Amino acid sequence: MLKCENLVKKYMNTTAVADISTNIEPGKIYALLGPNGSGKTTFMKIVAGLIKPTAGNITFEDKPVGIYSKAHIAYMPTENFFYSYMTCKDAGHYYRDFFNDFDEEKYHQLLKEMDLDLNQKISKMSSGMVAKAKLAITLARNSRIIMLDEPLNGIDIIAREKVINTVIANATQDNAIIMSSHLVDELEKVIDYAIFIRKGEVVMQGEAEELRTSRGMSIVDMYKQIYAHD
Amino acid sequence: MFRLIKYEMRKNITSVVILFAVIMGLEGYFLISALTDSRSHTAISSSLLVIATMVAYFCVCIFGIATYSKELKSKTGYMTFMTPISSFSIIGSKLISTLIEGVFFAILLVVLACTDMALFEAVFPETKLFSSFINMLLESMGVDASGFWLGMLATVIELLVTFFAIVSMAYLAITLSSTAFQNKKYKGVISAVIFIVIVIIVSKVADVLPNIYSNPTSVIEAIVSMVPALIYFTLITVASIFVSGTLLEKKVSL
Repeated sequence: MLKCENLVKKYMNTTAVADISTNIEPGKIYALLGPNGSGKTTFMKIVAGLIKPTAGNITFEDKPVGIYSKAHIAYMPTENFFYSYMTCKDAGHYYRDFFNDFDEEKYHQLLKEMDLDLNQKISKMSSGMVAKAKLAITLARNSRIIMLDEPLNGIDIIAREKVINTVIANATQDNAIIMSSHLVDELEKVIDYAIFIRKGEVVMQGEAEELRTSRGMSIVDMYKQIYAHD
Repeated sequence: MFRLIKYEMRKNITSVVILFAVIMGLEGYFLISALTDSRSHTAISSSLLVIATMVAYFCVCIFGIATYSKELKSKTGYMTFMTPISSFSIIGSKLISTLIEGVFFAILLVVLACTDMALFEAVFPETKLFSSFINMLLESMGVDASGFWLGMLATVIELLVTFFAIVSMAYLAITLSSTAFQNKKYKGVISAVIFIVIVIIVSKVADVLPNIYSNPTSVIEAIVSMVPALIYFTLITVASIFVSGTLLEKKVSL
């Protein structure tokens, strides 16, 4: 569905993405793992069409990332990206106006599950509430690929399980979910495929179960082993 | 694109309402001054209204430029650039919403100017002499009422065309700083420098445009002599939009 070949993104003297090649297929939950600054967010932004790669190829359903892919790929950034005047209701109207795959009823249901008020201004919300609002609006799109950048950031330990369960409930055989996080233990039990990124390069990737069997350790332990000296 | 225009208008609504409130405040000041026969306050308020007209022109221009700059330099830009809409539509929607705001203020100020002038003459009849003098002057130049309004219309079109050329050149400078020069430090300074350089080059070229009538003797001649500049600035606008849109499509980095 999504093919990335030797993606590179450079900024001045920094290489954010040095070499990422991977394929994303429907019916799986992917974990993009790595410490801060490893290139996870840059990779997601390239997939979302917010950044153009310096080199490499990226296609969604055999078409270059662009207008078509944006209609089918939902991306939740780490930052609060809503316009300052927006309430949850305004944000929902915005998504309804621009994304054909946006399900307004599902959005209202998700907001209810997250204990968020439809009429509350997002800029006045706590960081945890903003994180939930971002998650609700992104998951309310029935997209082919759903990318969640650090979905557990700002979410308290009690609500994390709820968030994880909501993400799982939205995983289908037709879509792929990509989550980035450094809270690996939280993702361990839900992911089907793990991609370890280090200094902008994929250092290891594969089916989570196969990796556990072949290496004889959990994803958390693999994470510790790979990034111990960073 | 119409949906984008709707959201563009919504984003700027606070600034537009503030500008509107300031103009209406000045209008209120003028009305109270004129109706209470206070000459000094009428003079001050009418002068402030004239200044407000020019300020409104620059404010609308700045609103249009600031909203585009913010889109490329802050996280709210994700809202726009995540949508399945081309970069050209994004730029077009911003220009059209700026045009709508500009037309709104232009109509408001023209209506206020016409009613205020009528009120001014009614309250201070001696000023009729001044307007009679202006009419005589225009007649001596062979300008009748239709010619006067034709000239006004041409001036408004010229203002609009140069307005869009300025805004689109600013868009080009901001786009260049956020795409081709995205890896450079002080992007804000770079975009300001690029804008100044573009404006200087465009002005220098405008100076050597063919002069159809060096000393126009009628309104028609004056209008015809504007044509090369109108075509030139329209081409500058189209070229700036095309380059900005292409750069965003190929090199956007948010």
